Amino acid sequence: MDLGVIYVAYGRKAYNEAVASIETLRKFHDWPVLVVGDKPIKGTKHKKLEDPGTHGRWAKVNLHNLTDWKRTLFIDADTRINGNLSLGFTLLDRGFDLVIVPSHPQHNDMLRHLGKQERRITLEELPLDPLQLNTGVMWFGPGSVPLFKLWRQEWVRWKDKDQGALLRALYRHPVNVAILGHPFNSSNGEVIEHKFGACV
Amino acid sequence: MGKHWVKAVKSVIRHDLHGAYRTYQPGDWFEVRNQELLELLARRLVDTTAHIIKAEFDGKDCGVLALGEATPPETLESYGIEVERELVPTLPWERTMIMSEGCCTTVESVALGLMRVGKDEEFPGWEMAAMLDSTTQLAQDIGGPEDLERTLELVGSLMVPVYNTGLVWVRRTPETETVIQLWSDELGKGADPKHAFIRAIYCQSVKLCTLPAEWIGKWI
Repeated sequence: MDLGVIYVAYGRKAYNEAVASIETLRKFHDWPVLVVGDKPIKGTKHKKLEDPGTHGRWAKVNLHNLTDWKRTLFIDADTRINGNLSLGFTLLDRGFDLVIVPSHPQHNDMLRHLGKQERRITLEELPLDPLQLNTGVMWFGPGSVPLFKLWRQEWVRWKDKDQGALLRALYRHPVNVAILGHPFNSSNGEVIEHKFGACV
Repeated sequence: MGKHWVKAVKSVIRHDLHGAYRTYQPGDWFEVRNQELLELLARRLVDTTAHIIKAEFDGKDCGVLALGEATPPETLESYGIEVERELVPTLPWERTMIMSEGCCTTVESVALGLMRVGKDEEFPGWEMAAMLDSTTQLAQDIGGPEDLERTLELVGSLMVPVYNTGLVWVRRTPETETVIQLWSDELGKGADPKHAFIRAIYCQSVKLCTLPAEWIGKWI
């Protein structure tokens, strides 16, 4: 069973959120957990990575280097686990490289959290009306490494939010992506409840 | 009166009849009528796409596979896109758009989707493209007990999104041939098309470009 879960938690709020999220994860799974951040959490493995003031996004675009496992689930700290998460790993076993949930904003509301310049250039570079993906919950396998390398490359262009960078990377290097429904990542998620913004 | 999709190239503020307004940033898309189109074009605030698509699209070995009584756009020939009719999905061309009965679209949309599954030296490209059916609908919300049970058994969950199977763009690869064969076999046995599609794409991994529900390209 070469799999595990990664949380990224920098700062007191994110640390407290990660502790609460891991507590809920434990009700369903005994998978190993790695926390990347400034402080270890009891019962988990800890890795330190200097965060250059990016709210953990530098760690996020480096997950492929930080993971100890072949198959990894990344979960944002501000989440609560309400159900079984095995489906993502099952899909990785079937040959998918990335398992992820779409964001709520789409079409003209998409990527509005990006800076004006990054959004404009991203929409110019991408083909018409792509699907915005929520990077708060992702299962990824070894086939996603080239994508992660490009994601980091794209993120470095603005060093700000990460979702636009992921879409640009996916356009440059498509991988086998499986899309899950909103129960796996939304504010009222039946499986993963995401308390958006609780770490800020 | 004609309607046209345009892309903002500079910030555009539009008012409705009640005085409410919305700002469109460069890169946003919206639909306008003839008069507003002329005004926005004159002020160089927007761009239209039809001529760009036609110039960029290479219709070599591309076609539309119309299932049953599906009615493809009449102007496909002007883009060099062929048409065939079948009862179940197959992949007669290098790039095929599979169109089901009851769906309508434009030739530009057909071309945009086929471009989305194209590849070249610079971009390895997607193998398939399909729209979500809605922003919230899940497999658990549609179909009869038999289909629900079979999807749960094969996929492992019913909390996966439903795809719009009316328009599906496919580049022929060993993986997409397997997906289309799985889908086709199930349709031949009378399965629900949407459940059968879900089972096919979650059991055989493929580079599927999932497009948002009501993908703007559908109406271009």
